[in-house]
Parts: sequence; C-alpha cells; structure tokens
Amino acid sequence: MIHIGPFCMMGDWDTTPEPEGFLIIRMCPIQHCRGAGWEGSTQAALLALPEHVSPGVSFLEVGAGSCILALAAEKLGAAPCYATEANPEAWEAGERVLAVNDSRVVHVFGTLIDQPVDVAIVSISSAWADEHLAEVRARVILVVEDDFTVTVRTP
Amino acid sequence: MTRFQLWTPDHCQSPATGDACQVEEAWDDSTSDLARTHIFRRVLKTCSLHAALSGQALYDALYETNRRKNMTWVIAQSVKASLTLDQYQWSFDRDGVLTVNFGSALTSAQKTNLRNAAALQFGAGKVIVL
Repeated sequence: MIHIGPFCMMGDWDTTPEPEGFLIIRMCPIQHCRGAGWEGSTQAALLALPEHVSPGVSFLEVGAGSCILALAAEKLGAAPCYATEANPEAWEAGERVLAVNDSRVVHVFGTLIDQPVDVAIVSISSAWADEHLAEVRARVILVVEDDFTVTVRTP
Repeated sequence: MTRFQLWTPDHCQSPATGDACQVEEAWDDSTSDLARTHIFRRVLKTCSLHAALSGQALYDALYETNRRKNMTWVIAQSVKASLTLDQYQWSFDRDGVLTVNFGSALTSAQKTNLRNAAALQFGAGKVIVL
C-alpha cells in the first residue's frame, strides 16, 4: 500500500486491515497505464486536491488513466465526478478500477465533456494544458505541470 | 496510415544467440501517441522460453512482459532518481514473473517502496524485488 496525504492506495487483493484515518482507494492491476499512485505527478495531484475539493463540488479529471484522481475527489465528497480518457486500454483500466471501488464516477471515453464543473484537474502535460485550457469547462482548473508542481489556472 | 514493424523482444530466451521471438505488429500513425495502440499481425519466430505460446496469446504475453519490465525501471527511478540503467538487473521466469535486482544501489526501504509500487501497478506476485 502507498500513503499520500489523506489517501491510502491498496491493492484489491490486499486483505490486511485498512488503516484508520485514511481515505482508501483500491487499485486493481492497471499494467502499463497511468495512475497507480506512485507517480510524482499523481502524488502531487493527490496532495493538492483537498485544498480545492469539498463535499458537493462537481469535479472532472481530464486524461484520467486509472481514474485515481476522480476517485480521490469522490472520497472527498465531490459530486458529480467525471473522468475522461481517450486511450482505449487506459479507459478499460479505469473501468476496472472504478468497479473495484464501487464508484459513481461518470467515466467518459474521450477527452473533454460539455458539462461544466466546479473543479477540473489536468494531468497530461503542461503543453496540452497550454493548448487546450480554454476547452475545459470548469470554474477552477488544476494543472499538474511537467515538473510535478500543481498550478491553479482560471479560464 | 497503417505502419508495420518487426519486433524482437530483448526479454526472450537468448536474443544474442538468435533464440528470440520475432513478431510483426501494426499501428496507425494518424493516431496520437496518447491514444495509439499496437496491433498484432503475425508471429515469424518463437523462442524456447515462450515455446508454449502462439499467435495472439504470444504477442499479448510479450507485449505485457516488455511493458512491465520497462515500467518497473520507471518506477525504480521514481524511488531513486540517480539509478543508472546498468544497475537494473532483470530476468523473467517461464511464468512471466519479473525478478529485478538493484543490489546495494537501493536501500531496504527503497526496495520496499519499489515492491509496493510495482504491486499496485501490476498486481501481487508479478515483480519480485531482490
């Protein structure tokens, strides 16, 4: 298991007692897809989320991979939560992860959605964010930059 | 446009002596890197390590083990950025279990971190960290 901020990522095969005081995110194997929780970008995003996500906030994870950030937002009380992914293999991995967490995250195959949200997070690349930020319909957009810092951008 | 390439994995029985698989795969170069997937076309040759497999099953196994080997290296670098590729000793057994050994380049705590991260990424028992 891996602890990052208020979150604990545990394998779906892991039968050890869930540590108290953590928001548990179960991970099934995602092979080469992004978002298992060890990546610097994912950890930076997980640490940033509690500052911007609270119960009732609507949320979008763009380029979600495993959907770990959408799951984390859901654990923080955000609703509704959306996650988009354009890579077929990554989308299927995200489906499996959402299923093992019994999640209500709305999983969309593609990159962007029409539904505006309160908070969106983009963890693809700084260049992608620079080029497509105006297309992300959110009040606040968090961007995980290439150096693993998280910047807040308003469209 | 559809592109083709022949792939000889470096994790077959003995690529240096020619005991290695050779497969042909295809991809669409009009698809972005983020969305691109490779497609199996045919097997030209099978090595002694992978002799029990054929066709799509062989390709899927080679694809998955290769990516696991490469991604485990990426995970190791996230644990300790100063690792060098020559410190990455790896091998596969006939069941596709990857064993990695960084020797004294990683501390016990770092090896535990690598072990936990690899387990989350690939599932339990897929990567052994010595």
